[in-house]
Amino acid sequence: MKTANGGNLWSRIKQHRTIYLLILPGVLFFILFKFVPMWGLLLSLKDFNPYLGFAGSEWVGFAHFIDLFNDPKFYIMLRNTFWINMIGLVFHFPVPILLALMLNEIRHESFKRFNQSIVYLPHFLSWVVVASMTFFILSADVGIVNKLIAESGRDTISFLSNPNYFWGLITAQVMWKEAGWGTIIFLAAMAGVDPSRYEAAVVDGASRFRQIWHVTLPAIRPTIVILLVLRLGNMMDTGFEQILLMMNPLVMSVAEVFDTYAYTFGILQGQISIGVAVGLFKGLVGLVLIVIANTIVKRLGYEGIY
Amino acid sequence: MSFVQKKRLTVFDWVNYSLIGLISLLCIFPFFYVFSVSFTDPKAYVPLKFYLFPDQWSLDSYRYILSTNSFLNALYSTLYITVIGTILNIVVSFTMAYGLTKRTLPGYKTLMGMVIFTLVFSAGIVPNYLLVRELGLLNSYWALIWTSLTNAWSLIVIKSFLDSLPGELEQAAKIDGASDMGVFLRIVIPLSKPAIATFTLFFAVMHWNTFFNALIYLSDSSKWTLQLFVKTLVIDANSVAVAQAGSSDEAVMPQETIRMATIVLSMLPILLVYPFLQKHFAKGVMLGSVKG
Amino acid sequence: MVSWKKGMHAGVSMALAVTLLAGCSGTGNTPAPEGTGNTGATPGNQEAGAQEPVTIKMFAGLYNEIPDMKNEYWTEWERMTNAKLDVEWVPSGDLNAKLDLLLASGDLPEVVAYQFNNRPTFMRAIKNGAFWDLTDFLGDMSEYPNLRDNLAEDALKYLSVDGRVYGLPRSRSRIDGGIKIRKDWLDKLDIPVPTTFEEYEAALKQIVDADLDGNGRKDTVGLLYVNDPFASFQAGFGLFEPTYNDEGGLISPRLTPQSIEMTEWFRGLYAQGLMSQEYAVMKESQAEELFKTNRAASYGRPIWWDHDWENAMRQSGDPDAKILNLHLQGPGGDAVALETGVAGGFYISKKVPEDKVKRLLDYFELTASQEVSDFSYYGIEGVHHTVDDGQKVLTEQGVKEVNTTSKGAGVLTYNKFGKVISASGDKAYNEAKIAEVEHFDEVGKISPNTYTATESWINAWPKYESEFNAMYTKAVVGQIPMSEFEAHVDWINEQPDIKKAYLDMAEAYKNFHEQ
Repeated sequence: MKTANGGNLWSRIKQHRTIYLLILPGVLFFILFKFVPMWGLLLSLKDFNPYLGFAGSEWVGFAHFIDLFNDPKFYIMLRNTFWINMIGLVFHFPVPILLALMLNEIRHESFKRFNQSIVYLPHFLSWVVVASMTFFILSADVGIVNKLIAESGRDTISFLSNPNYFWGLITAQVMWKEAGWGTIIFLAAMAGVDPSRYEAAVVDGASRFRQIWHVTLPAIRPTIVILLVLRLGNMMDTGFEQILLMMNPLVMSVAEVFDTYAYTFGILQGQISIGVAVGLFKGLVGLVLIVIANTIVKRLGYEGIY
Repeated sequence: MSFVQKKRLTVFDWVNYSLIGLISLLCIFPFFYVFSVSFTDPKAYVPLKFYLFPDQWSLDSYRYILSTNSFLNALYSTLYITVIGTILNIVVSFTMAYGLTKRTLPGYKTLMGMVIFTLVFSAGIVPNYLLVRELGLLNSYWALIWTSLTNAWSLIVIKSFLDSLPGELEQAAKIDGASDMGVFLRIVIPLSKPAIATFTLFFAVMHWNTFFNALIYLSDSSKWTLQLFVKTLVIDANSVAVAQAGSSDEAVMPQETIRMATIVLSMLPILLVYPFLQKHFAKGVMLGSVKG
Repeated sequence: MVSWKKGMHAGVSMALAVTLLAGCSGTGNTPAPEGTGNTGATPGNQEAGAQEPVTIKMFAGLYNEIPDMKNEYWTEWERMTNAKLDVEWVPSGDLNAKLDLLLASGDLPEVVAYQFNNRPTFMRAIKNGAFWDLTDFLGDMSEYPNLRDNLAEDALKYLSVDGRVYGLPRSRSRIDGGIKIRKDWLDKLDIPVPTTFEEYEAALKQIVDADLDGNGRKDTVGLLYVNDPFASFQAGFGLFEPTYNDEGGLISPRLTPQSIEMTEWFRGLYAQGLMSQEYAVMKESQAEELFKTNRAASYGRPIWWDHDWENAMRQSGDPDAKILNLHLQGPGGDAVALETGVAGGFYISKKVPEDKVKRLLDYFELTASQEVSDFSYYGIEGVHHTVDDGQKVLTEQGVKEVNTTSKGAGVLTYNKFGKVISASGDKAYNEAKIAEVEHFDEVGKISPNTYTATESWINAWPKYESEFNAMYTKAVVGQIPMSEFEAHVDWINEQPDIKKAYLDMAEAYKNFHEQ
């Protein structure tokens, strides 16, 4: 009944004509607003001077990329970016899932709704506010935590200026701010689970944990996989505003990342080409990671992102 | 929600409830400060003190903000962009994502490639700005709406939701003679309520919080969105931009109470809308029509 | 069912079509009408109403809430200056981002009011001819008496590039910041007002040891230090004296031998517990809060905040709070730093046709008059301010409509005490404050960086900046020995691109002082 694999191209197109109609607005959008401006990527190969225009600006080939790779800080930035993302992946990625599972297990509907409405609130605070709060909690001089530590007679801890704490601090901030918001997607996925499957599990003698393991988790597994692969596309990204706010001279060695490089050399100096080059580099790495991850995922039998 | 015979609270529940309670407390405690300070009398406010409740109640800060024309303008702008933008977002995203579930579609690979490409690469501010200018959209709300019509991340996630819908339903409908459009509108959409609710929230919040695009595309301050308006009242000497700009000496820091009130006002509408969307996450979707 | 389906199709396509059309025909940028009757008018014609008002599309920073251009202040301003302002306001923190974009896309308005004229993107724009060279228009300034007489010393020099004038200044006072100290605490502990760095250090130590808040811990901060050494301290160590290396290049202030000496001094302060333990983490607004709530003894900030801060200190529990701005003597001379008197300028973009440039200059000439400047500070008598015992005091409407933003539309006269006088203080208070600091104008020094930051420096320095800051901070907190910091500074000063920059800077310094 459906299109046979060997059907000729034109008849397959005709068969899917409604689908083409449906995707038309989106495709038009992508072509016009995403691909037409893509000439901007070529700026990374030029030394863009707005007064000479795109055509008049000098071709520099891969000079910006070579500068980036040769920068003495390149490996530091790579290391920092990598670790910040790894720690985030291990600690921050699972938290919304766990939280969503916990919320899902609440049996009093009103208590569940109430908490659902609270845990996502921090998402709405700006990083400026969060950085400020962090200061007033953890500062060695005025922070509440250190005040308590001092009162108990011990030495204050320099949470904010000790490089060893930086990555953990950044991750903790992100966890607090985004975990609740992240539960929304999983809760929506859990909403699609057929209640009768839980009944069946109970009949089979499953405990609460087993129910979660055998019913809830498999139901959201596709969502988890997709989000994980998508997350890998961002492995060279870091929360720019957050890092810029939390940076200080004493933690520089662990805080410099590609985004801060692009900001310092790109934006502050008005060198658009550098910013584009860094973006291109990050994008390439992200693309490679996505392709690898997607292939692995499909080998394991799950739906990838394509 | 797991199904248990009796509504008795087990140890599991107690532990779960306590943990959740703790987490909620952790998430909400700064908001006590924000809310309390916003309702505190500006003359009685003492800095660096943690407020649980206002020392002296006052609506002065709110009155001040609401009395400005610019707040109402900003509210109108943001509502316009959010409502129209979100509707268009949902329509375009779901139609395109649905199309992307049809792997037999000729040109599928190109389409997916295109989408994934935009996931990791973006053109940059200047080319986008030039395009918007060429289209005559500068200083118009539509610059914001059209440029954010949909995005790769949303498409991929929505597609995954749509993929998880049982294929038997579509086939059953087709056998009954439904067309592609009919299947889409009468089967797929109604079953996607949780996804639609989720993404309505996501897109609405995205529009509500737009700052940067509004900054570069809207030159007329009467068209500014809420976040731009908030920036003028919550000039924070901590902010990245101000720090880089150097001298923040020219900026006068408004009263803390006003800043807190601004934060509350900018969050309020979304907070009010969320409970209505929430119920769509909670209900299970009845798939009984397929079984048996 | 068939008709329903058709209806749906039609409905959907109609909706899309309508929104598409509405969007595309949307409110594009309607160009403002050009001012009429300009070429024939006599230049420098000051009479309002003699010509059509000139319309000005301006890009300017917003430091307060969005102004209502139809309010009493602006209406009167436009009447007085015979202009119609169409301002594109930009939140002050985002000026750079927006301007860079406009520069890169060639979308400049007619006038750009901009503070950070040393930025590379802006310098590049000027050098590439994006703005009018005003030197010849101004000529010998005989047609522009206000601009000639009412500005700060050297004002136009600060806005010149390669000897040509491109901008008209945004006038501010030169006296700006002061090293503040809690006078009431000095009195309480019978400490005489410090006049040297040693006395200052000793005074801080005494205050911190005294544990004035009586909570059993010496947690009062001596000196609140945020980001970089406060300019006045730099002046006191002689960082603003031009210092040359072997090749005749001008060394950047923070990399001079005097700077090492200064670092050593701060290191000493830190070791004695006179600075916050984690000072490197603190931001301006947090430091301000600490000072205003009586938790710190000394802080370097603009003088005009004193009155407001004293109020806050009283509200936080110290009824006798009094702030004094110190005049200390350091190893390098007076520890007083001055601003240039020019906070950026007004630039006229090439978009403006040549004949309109003269009209714009007339506008700016008007704004540099005493009358308009006074208006920009106080507004209309009876509406925005009342006259109390000879001193003008802002009314509630005044506070709302007359502010930093509203002062941003004109050149304004040089106001010697513009950043000394408190808007909320009464006449007696302000007169006392002026008496306290007026000699700063004579003894203070201006950092050469303000006019010697050449492109070679701007391109070279970012490579070393973060490392330098890290080493500097570690030296101050004692994580590394001074010798290591000194070695690092020496290393930077030997780098070829830095040495080249120094030579260019020496050239720039010479040119500035010869003009």
